[in-house]
Amino acid sequence: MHSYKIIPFCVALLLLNACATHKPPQPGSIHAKVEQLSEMSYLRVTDLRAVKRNHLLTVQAEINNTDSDNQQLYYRFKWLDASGFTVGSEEPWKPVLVYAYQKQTLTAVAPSPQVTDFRLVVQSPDNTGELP
Amino acid sequence: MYNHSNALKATAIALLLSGCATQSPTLSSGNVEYGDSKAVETLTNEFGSTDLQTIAESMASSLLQSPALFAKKRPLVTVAEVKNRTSEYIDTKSITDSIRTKILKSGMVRFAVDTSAMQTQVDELTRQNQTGLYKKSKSKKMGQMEGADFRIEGTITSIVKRADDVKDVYYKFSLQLVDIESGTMEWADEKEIRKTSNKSMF
Repeated sequence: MHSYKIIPFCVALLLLNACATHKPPQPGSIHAKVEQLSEMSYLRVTDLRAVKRNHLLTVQAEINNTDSDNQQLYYRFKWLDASGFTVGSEEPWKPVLVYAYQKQTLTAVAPSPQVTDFRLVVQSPDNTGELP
Repeated sequence: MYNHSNALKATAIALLLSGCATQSPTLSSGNVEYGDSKAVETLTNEFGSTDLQTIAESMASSLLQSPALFAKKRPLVTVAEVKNRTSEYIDTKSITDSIRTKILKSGMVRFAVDTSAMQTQVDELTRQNQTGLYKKSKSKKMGQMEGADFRIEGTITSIVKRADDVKDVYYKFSLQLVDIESGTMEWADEKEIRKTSNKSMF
């Protein structure tokens, strides 16, 4: 096969592969609530729970470091109302150090009673550079 | 001939590319750019924007979970002083302003004029009632101000340590909610921050 025929074939295969692996997250799953700026190499969001306390949505996330080195995590929450609009201004990015093999808990309280949903946005400097 | 045709192609591509590019609505010398005000700032280990933002967020969310605030419907709160007991200059008013803004946005608490804004409040009432410039029916009455149910006050302290090339700074921000009538402390919380910097030889 000539190279000019192989290249489009490879591109098509890659595109098909990309379509096959990037399935939309299941509603209600952790992946539906977590936005990774890039696939984190060693940190995983292993648990997410949310409950309304005193009219305010309280969220707790568990981050698991699977590496033998300490890992830095940057995170913030996006708060959404019942219509899916963001509530309040953007949160500041917060740094947190996750020790080797540690399960770190992050807790956040929604800024207003209008909040009914959230997204946890995470970024680790040690990432794969790939889309999650 | 070959070089001539290549030059023509390059010119055509350059023209096409310049045709596609659009002008940004900026007027810049090239040395200044806007950044993310919410980014984690670690330029030095002095008190910075990330410290202010995380303290304000942490304290506001903790205070909004305080049962004392929910015992009354939309209680009235005033902000007293946050004392700076660190070795550096920190604008504590800026921290309490951020906390107040976050709590106010929740709509669950009201804030009374604090001592720093009281003179402006008194001046405005005096202007409306005693200058003779305002209709009596339209001016705000004297003696109608509401006293706060709670007072917020606090301190910020720091411990700075140096060893060889390492500088370690530990900040502790403490905030309390005091019931003004009874004088009882109804809520308190702390936010701790540690920042360590290395003075590298290279």
